[in-house]
Amino acid sequence: MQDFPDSIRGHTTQDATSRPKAATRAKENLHPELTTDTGASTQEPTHMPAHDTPSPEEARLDIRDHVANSYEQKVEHACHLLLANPLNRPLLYRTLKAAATQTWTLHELESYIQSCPEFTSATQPPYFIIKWLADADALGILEMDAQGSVIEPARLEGLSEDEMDDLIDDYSFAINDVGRDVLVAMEPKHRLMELMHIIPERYDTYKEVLEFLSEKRPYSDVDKLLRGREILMSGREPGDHPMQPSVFIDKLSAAGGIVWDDGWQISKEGKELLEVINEIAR
Amino acid sequence: MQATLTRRSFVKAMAAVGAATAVSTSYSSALSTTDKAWAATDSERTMYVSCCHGCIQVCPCKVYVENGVVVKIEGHPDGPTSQGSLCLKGLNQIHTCYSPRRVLYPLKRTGERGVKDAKWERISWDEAVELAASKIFEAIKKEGTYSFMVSVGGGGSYSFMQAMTLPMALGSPTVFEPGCAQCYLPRNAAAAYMYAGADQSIADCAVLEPFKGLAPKEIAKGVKPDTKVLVLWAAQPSVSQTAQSGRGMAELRAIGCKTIVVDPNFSPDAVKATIHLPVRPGSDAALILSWYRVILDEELYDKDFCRFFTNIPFLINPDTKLPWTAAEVFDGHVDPDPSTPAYVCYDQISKSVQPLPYGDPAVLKTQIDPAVVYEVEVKGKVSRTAGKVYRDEADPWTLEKTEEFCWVPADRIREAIDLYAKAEVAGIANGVASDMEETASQVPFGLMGLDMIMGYVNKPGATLTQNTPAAPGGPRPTHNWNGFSGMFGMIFGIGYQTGATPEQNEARIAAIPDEWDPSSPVPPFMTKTWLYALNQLMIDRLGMKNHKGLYEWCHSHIPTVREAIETGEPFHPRVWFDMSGNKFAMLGSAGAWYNAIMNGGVDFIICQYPMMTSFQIECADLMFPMEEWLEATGATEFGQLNYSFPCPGVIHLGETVPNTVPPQRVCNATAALLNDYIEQGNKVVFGFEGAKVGVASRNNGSYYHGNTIDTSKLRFPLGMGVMGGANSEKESWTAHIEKFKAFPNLAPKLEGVTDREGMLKAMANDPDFYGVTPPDMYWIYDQHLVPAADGLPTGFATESRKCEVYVQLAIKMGRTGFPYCYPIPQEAVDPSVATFDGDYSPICNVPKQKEVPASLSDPEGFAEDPSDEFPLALTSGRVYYFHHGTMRHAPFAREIYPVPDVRINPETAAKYGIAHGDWVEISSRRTQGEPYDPVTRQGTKTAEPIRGRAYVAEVVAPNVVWMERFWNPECFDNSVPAEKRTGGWQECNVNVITNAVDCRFNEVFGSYTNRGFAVNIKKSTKPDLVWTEPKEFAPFMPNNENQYTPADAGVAINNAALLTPIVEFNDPPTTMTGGF
Repeated sequence: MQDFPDSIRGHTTQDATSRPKAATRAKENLHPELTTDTGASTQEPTHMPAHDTPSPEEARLDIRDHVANSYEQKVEHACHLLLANPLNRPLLYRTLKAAATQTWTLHELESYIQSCPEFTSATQPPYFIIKWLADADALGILEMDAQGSVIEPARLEGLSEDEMDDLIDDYSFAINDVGRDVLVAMEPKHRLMELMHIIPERYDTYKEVLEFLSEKRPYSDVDKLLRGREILMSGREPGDHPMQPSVFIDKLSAAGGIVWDDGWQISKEGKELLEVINEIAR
Repeated sequence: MQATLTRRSFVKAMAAVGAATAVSTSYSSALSTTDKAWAATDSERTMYVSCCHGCIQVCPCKVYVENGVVVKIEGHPDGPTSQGSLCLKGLNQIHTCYSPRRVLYPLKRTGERGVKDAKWERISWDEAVELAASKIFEAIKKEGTYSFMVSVGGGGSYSFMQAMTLPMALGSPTVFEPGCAQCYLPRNAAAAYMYAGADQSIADCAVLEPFKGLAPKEIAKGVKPDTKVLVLWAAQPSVSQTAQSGRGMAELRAIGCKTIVVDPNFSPDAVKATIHLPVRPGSDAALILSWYRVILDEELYDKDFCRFFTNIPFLINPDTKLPWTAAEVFDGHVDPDPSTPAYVCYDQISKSVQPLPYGDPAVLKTQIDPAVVYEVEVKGKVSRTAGKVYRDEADPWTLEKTEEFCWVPADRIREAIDLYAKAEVAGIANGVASDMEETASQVPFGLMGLDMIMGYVNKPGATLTQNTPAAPGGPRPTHNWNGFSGMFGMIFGIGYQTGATPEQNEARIAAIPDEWDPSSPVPPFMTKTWLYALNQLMIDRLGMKNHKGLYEWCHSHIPTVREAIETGEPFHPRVWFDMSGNKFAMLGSAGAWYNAIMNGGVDFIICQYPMMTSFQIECADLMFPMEEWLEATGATEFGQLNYSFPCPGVIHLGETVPNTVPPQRVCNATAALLNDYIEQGNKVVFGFEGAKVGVASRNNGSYYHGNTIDTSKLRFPLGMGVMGGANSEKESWTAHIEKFKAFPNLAPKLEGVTDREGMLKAMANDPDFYGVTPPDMYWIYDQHLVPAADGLPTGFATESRKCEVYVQLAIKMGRTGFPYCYPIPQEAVDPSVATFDGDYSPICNVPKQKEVPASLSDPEGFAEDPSDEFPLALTSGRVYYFHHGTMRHAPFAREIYPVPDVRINPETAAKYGIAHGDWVEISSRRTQGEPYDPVTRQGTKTAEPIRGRAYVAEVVAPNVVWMERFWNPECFDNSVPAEKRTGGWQECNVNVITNAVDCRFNEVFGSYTNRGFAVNIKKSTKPDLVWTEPKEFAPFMPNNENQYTPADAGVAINNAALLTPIVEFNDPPTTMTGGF
């Protein structure tokens, strides 16, 4: 078992004062309970920064009263969204990851989601995946005019509802701070690392399965690989039945190391982790 | 007239003028004379005989239908026990059926999991089935067949065989029910182990004898009641099933039957008892042993029955803990009957150890006098009789010691023993409380053993009676041990057949073909390939190694299933089909379940139920709409004693279906996907294919060691597919009609009737539409004395052919899984779990209790974790208004009992400053301390304390509190703002604080602790969202207009829905591929 370098284990921190303030806007007809972000950030996920106490304005404009208003609780709630919906979790994560790289129109983001291999296991259409993330304050919604420009709050001041509706032509989505912190917390590399360390005797088998799944394979291949091995008794009491080989698949997929696309295959993050492990081993 | 009316002047005015005129002088002209009110058109009211399925006793009733709407339900006066009674549950069935909160169409969740974002869309049946099948198929492709699981239970929409057989049909071992080990299985299985006969449960209609000869119609036929002394141990018929066994108890007491009630609660049965023993919750085993001590010492037992029809005189090998057989002790001994070994006793005539063969007592007693309580050397080992083993176990439990431990006065215990043991005949009815404690096996072993040593078996007036005859000249009785006492043949796997010889059992296995031959008449599932697969499923069932009694109902150990979800080991059930009820209200340590699911433990949850409960609203992904019993499209009937009543559905709402339809359709759709996948050359991984790993010695517990069986030929659905209802409505009605045609009074009425419509027409307005088995064919006794083909009394279907008071089967079961795990044994139970020096106890004993209140005066030796922090003992019981988790939407029931009572003795209440009607908070280790970590198994907290309303009265003993399960649908009702909603299961639900996390599970059945654990209380306030005032329940009141709820709940709309046609499914019958 190798020690992992800081590039995986450590996190860079961001100066809290440079984080854009959240501007909020309620839209009854589309997303009544959203916060908006005035600037789409393209920064890579970073460690959760220290957060100032919300200003009275921010606190007042946090519409989801049933979720506590502190920033930390928003992040926790958004993480919980991913945790509590396991079939949609890979897709929710993938969507946030995409939103961290650029701003997407609704149509673009829906199309992207449909193209993800994780979509086949999801229980919801793309629109609800986006809506869940936006409702959880992990995805910012941007109002766009007909020219494709972001409508700043100042442009809406003094307008009637109808005038606002006339001005707003489309919606775009981009990740916000909450979403970035969710990506950090749910980062597969960290979860995978933890998984491989938690029961040391299983480390080699996890690595072997990751390597085995460098090409897409049905579960039956993994079952054949592991069935009958002593490792299936690890953590079991003498006389207990062995684990099913699926336990390794189950845990690797929960950690984001492998993905299902009518067959199991190592994920991008799983590959990156394997590369680091193998590099260290060399 | 005066300008203002006084009462006096009004009355005077009434005398002088007409009422309308008098009123009009004081009120405005809004009131005016009018004609009497008449309906615009006549309506025709039709009455149907039926059975109320508000609870499991299913009382006969009459249902009145007008314009397609049920307008009245009343009890049927000819019910021989209920005699026209209908309890509050029955009277609230109309509100239940027509609740505006019914789910009448398939629904798919569109919001995230959790109540706050619970949103649903209505989808078609095809889409719903396809969605369910695709998720199960996907899970099986991803992780094999063990990734799917099923559950049932919690009251309402009763399914059982459907839940049992669906996972098997898809190659999964995992099924559970919150009842089972916590409700009825222990008592039911104990009866099977001890004499293979009916158990001691009144609620489950095993005990029927006390209710014989109470109804006038039966009395007119000359049927007489024979029950003179009845012990209600941990049972409350007057509360659980008020209309039937409650009514029956009232009638029985009225004619002079004496009762002994053992119950910490002052139930109506207890209040009216001849003797009430308010036992400390969780201490029943000690009380039982005090009875044994007196009865054995004073030889109050039935000597003949004990000596010749029980195994209590058998000498026990101290090394094996099993009775010595004559073949082991006496060289050259040959058993006259190879199916029944002769055992060994101490003969008081010859004063020596002698063989004790099974035989006719009339002959044997001239030859041998087996000692009941004795100790003697056998083959150099000091061996005790089973009676001595019991006496020694009972030795500490003097009346005085028992008083101290059980909180019951010694003189009252003695009085009860005398009444029970000195009666001409008596019987014990054992209720559900004992199933919910560490002593779930010990208590029924002890209580059934008491009736057996007293000879209260198969006698008029006893509770251990059977209602089927023994055929004279019949074979030696046998019993099959492969799930449900083998009542379904070998479809649940191979097991041993008690009463057949080992050679006969081996021959039975040898005769099973390895592979299916399509040209043979043998069904495809009767092959070693499939039957061994089933046996492997049994063994792999979670928790079975330590709690092998669960094999009796083929169910998994619930806490072990939860741990598998939490940890993913030894396999991870990822898709869950739940078939009934509010699991968060019914499962012990509900918070742990909620956390397991909401932390991503289950990928997809499919539910079926008539309405949304906490469980569905919080975490179901797909919901199938179930019928209520008034809508039953399948043909059903129920019995009350020797009467059979039909239970036809008379209305229909929305797209509801019987409980068999979704499992069958989903099973068939999933099977089609899987078979197609296999035909394309892919492999489905059956979890049961695993070879044994890392075991150097014997081939323990794996039917697939070496993986020699070719599973590539298996196809889905495996075995029998989904059972539990006819494959078509037509089939079920045909069989139903034939059954009722067999009754002479009904045959003419059913002439030419072949279907549901014809049956309903024949039944309309006929109050006599029921069948009666003649009393002399039902009230039958002494079956064990009927001469069998071998000339001996028939006896019982046990190894010894006797009542096995010393449950010798329990010893063997713990070691190898025998008789279920046959022909290949299973690993032994973990010795730390077992209480008889590493084995399951074959007798009643007092195991350690996990959570004992500090107020227990003698915790040494029995209390693992005496608690100062939690000084009170909590127990539970039933209420009149609801059955399990049902009917919390019924407004009239809620009006009477809006929130759960917390019953507290005045002395205890005063200590805590609590007055009657105060809200109180109740805490246990599940609501305090460090959060429970499922990986490390550290911590105990899984939720927050619960609340209830104090009912302060002399209804429980001091230092005991009582509370029944509850949940509050108003907490997530559409009338509550979304942001405020909760799942309604944490506010007042006692199962939040019960212990299914780190309790001492009962050794045999794995029962966790729902009663008798330690709690604390303090004054509190009403939970915010909980309704208590009658007007608050208005949203639940059905009326002409409100069969509508906001669109996002997807419930049916307007009156037209009341007359919806029945949804037809024309699926082909489940194909018995047997996997081939």
